[in-house]
Amino acid sequence: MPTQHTVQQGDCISSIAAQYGLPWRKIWNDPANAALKTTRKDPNVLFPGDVLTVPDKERKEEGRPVDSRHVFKLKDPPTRIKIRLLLDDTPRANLHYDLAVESKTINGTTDGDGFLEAIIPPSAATGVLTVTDGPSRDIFQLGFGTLDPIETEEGVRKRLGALGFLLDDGLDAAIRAFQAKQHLEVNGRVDDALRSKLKEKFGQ
Amino acid sequence: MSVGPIARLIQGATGFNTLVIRTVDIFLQMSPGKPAGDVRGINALNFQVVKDGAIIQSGATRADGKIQMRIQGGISTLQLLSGGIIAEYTVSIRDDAIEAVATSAGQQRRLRMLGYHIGHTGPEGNGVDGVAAPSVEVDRSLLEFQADGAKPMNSLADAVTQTDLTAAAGA
Repeated sequence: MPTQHTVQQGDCISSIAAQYGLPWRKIWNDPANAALKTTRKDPNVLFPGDVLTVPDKERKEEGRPVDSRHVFKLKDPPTRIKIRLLLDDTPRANLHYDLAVESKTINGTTDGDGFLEAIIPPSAATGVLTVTDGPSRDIFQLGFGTLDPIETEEGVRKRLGALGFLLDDGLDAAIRAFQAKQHLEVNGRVDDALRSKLKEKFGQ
Repeated sequence: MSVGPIARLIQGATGFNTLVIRTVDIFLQMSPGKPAGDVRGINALNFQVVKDGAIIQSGATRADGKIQMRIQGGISTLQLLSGGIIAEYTVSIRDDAIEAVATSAGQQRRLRMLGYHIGHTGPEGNGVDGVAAPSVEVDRSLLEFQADGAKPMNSLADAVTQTDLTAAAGA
């Protein structure tokens, strides 16, 4: 029995797909959604109140020997990015942005807290984000999947750079500046207090 | 080139990545001293801010000469435009406090920030050398600074002058 799903604020095709355990194309291309597909065109832009027909899952039988390891890969892993934009310490709310990824440009508006979320092709490695703020345009070069773990020096360095700290005078100086700004002990060292504060401020 | 590190998120992940642009207030003036109303400001001068070859900000100065300059990754370049590029400044953000105003270097740094010419000595070649005995340039700059503030002109970096320097430089 197909399910009728009413789109809620915050839903997107891939979150709905994940909720029902289906590839998003399977839902989007279902004949029952043809009308919605014509009106909305872009599956990333569904409005609250839109009704999607979610088809039943097809059962797939997989015979595998016991006592060995099997890897089942999701056919259509959705790739999502979520970015918060700040000007100094102020969230950059309700600003128009264009995100150029591969040959496509996704556009939208940051939310009231300066966040933007986008679904990108899983294969995309780089993007260019342009934010229009009055007469100013801010251009960011993005590297997808380039965030290194906080445990590594490169992870610390990249987070500090993204938060606007100067790295040209060395990592040590940037760490000291960050520690001073966050009222941590200023020792220029990568310790647990630094990592946890950096994670909190950067978001991940 | 500075690249914003962005994680690919799997469904349900709550993480996010922050990108910060920091700003500094810069006053472009026709004469040295503290920004005072529209008197000294260079009005309506076009400028652009460049980072890694890309223009990240463009605009024109206000009547008081002020630009709120955007800095990405701690360092960016400010270009002043009039026909072509007429001046270029590399601006980096320093989070550490500048030298104390009670020291020679601190006084020199503030005079320099306010646009007074104090020579080319010191490690940065900008006249900030920390030498206690004032050079001819520092001596004259102190006199000019005191005159600009309508204060007694003794060319001494006394307590009153130190307070005025701190207030005028904003740090």
